[in-house]
Amino acid sequence: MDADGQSWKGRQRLAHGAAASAVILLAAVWVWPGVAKLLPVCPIRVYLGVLCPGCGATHALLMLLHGHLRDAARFNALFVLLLPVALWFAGECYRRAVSMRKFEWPKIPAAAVYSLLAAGFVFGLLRNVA
Amino acid sequence: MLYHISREGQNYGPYTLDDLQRYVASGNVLLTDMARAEDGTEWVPVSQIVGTGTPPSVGMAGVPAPYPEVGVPGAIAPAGVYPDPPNLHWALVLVISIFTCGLFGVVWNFVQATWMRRVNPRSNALFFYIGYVVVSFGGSFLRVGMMAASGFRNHYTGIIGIPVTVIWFVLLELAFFDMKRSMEEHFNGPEPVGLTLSPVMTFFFGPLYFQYHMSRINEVKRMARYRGAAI
Repeated sequence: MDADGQSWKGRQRLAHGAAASAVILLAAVWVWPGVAKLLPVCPIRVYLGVLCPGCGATHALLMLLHGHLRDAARFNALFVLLLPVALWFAGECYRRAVSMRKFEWPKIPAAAVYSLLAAGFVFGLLRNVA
Repeated sequence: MLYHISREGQNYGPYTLDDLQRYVASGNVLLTDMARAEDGTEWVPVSQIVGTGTPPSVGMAGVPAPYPEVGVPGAIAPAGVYPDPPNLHWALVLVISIFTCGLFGVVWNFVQATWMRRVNPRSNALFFYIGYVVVSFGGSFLRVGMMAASGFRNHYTGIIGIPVTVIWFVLLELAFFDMKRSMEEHFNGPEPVGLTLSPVMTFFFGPLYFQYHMSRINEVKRMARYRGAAI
């Protein structure tokens, strides 16, 4: 097998491992919500005392796993809105890692990426000011 | 004097003799490739121009080198083929990192450092990142352990927290600057694109700044391949 083939096999194992880990982690959070407390504390919140755009995402995910959409949005509305996009992105990365001999990340238009970044900053600003 | 290189019907260059020697040393130009002086008409093997025992030389950077594909007849080794840098928009790396409490950022540091070590084995950034993860996560567990031992009454853990923070910060910056050195070494050597990285940007934005340049370099390589004169 050539170097590309070996790297492809390794990548497939990595993708399967990452997908399995994600499913196990989600199942663990669903069964035992206390696992969220083991995650690292946001350094921005600890050192600067402000909520970053990602603060509350873990709790929002926890609420979503238990079907509480409104509570999830209360913890982090932007995360809830972006979750379908994130799931698509993760699924597409997995599909490419498993099926493509030479891996390429999914292409997202630069305008969409910058809009996402701007939305994050605006959301971060508003949730601290409001 | 300048030389043109021909391989498999593709022409490259022109290159100075210094560059040619450097590309032969790095494996990007093969001794079996054909060369022609710019003012001449005769094609001769590269070995007749640079000799067979060419030492690596330090020449000017910024001149694209041929980028042989795996399996090119006569290729001495696939050493001249370097994997492309990780290609994800820097802003996307930032956004995903924010929404994963920085965990994706840590993983991405490893992706970059692993790639760097594959193309430049002298890179030590991977080891600095491992040290950073061990110290920072170990410190967090130690802090939680101390808090738990006091029944969560004592939240002051500065005795542990401050030295741990200083150590992981130093390790992180060492990793950043090692990445900077390795990238500049590689992209002004075997794959010359004339890369210069700012120490200030490296200090403050490290992996995001590298990612910006990696995406840019990927684009340059893609365009060069498209034109048939890949670097």
